[in-house]
Amino acid sequence: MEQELISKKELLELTDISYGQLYRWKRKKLIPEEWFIRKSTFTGQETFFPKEKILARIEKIKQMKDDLSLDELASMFSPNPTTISLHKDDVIKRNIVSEVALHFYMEQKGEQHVLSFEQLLQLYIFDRLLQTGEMSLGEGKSVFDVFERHYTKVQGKSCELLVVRKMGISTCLLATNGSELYFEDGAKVVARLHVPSCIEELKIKVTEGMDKWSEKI
Amino acid sequence: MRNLTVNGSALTSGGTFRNVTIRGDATISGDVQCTKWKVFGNADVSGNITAEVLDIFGQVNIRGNVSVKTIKLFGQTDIRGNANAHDVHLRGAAHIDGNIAGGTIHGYGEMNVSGDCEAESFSVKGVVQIANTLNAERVDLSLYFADSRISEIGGKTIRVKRSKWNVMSFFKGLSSASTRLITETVEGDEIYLEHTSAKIVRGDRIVIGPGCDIELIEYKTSLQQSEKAVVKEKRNI
Repeated sequence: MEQELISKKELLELTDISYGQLYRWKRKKLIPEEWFIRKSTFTGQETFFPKEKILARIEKIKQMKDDLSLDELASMFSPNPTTISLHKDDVIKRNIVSEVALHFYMEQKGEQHVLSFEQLLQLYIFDRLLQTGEMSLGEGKSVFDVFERHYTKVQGKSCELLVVRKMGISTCLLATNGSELYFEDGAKVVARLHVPSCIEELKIKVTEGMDKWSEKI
Repeated sequence: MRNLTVNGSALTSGGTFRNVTIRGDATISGDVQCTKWKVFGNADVSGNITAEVLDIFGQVNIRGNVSVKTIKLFGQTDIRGNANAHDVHLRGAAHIDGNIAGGTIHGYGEMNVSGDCEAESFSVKGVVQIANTLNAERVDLSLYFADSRISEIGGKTIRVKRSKWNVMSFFKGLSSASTRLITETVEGDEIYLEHTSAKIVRGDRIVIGPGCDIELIEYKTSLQQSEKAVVKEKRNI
């Protein structure tokens, strides 16, 4: 696919940024090396960029650089999904979790601009339970707590999240796969989610959005 | 954790250590991970080095990558891979076949990089050769002893000047070495150049000092030019 290119000079004029900023952002890996396309012209070597991608990226950086440090921004643009973090506005805009769920999370854990992949995972699972009606908003705290406390221990292993309810009181737990669980009478397993498949789904959602987002103008 | 000490001559495998001290001559086959690495003499490492502090007095040859917090080079260092350091003190000659990335790179001597060089602050007096791009927030280059060649320089503040005090000027008659910077492109917000040959200089505020030979300047806010400089074309954009 032939993509439209923009020269460095035009880019700086169009976006009103300085050479210092451009080189700084490149150093901080906010702009990927592959986007710097060198071509020889009549004035010698010139650097070009894929126009749509670079304009979208610079717009994004300009928007967020007041809220976030350059290092936080860099991790946001990292292509590795598990080290990805997203700005809270993006989470809503790209429909990764519902606004209700995010709002509740912020209420519980305090206002945050950037969400790490792990936080997103908690939110994503909670949102799913919420959407299927298997959990009420108030019960969400136990999902966040169990993940915050214990997720690192089961990370990388295949595990399940269970929501159990008895006489209207609910609790949730993380169980590594293969462990047998027995409950007392009257306790009901409301939901059982396989965490690694949730991670996969979330990764796809996050990266798909990344492509769309870098391709749009 | 163990220490590795070599007094005299030794051939050893790599590993994880607390302190590595080499007095004499050592050949290390494999990767080395340690807190402190000191070499007085010669060392040849076939793998990668990860350390907090790396002090080299003498000659070191590293075939892999180097990742350290602080590196002090008194002597000669050859790195075949990439180098990553928070702080680089140069007091001698460094040759890097890959790229070098650092927080601050400063000192004097000779630096030769076959890839890119990235730093927050780059301040070197001596001879610098960079095959690709020198990208730093602040570039401060003092030309000394011989020609420096950097194909592209980019950053916020860029200063290139010829070192005032020059012992070699006594020997000028003996050697034909000039002391210039030869470059293709210089791009920055604030640029001061002396004794530089460049194809294009682009920036916001540019000062062209004596001895410059520049084909094209594109400036935004201001341009000052010394009488002893040659500029073929100037454009205000």
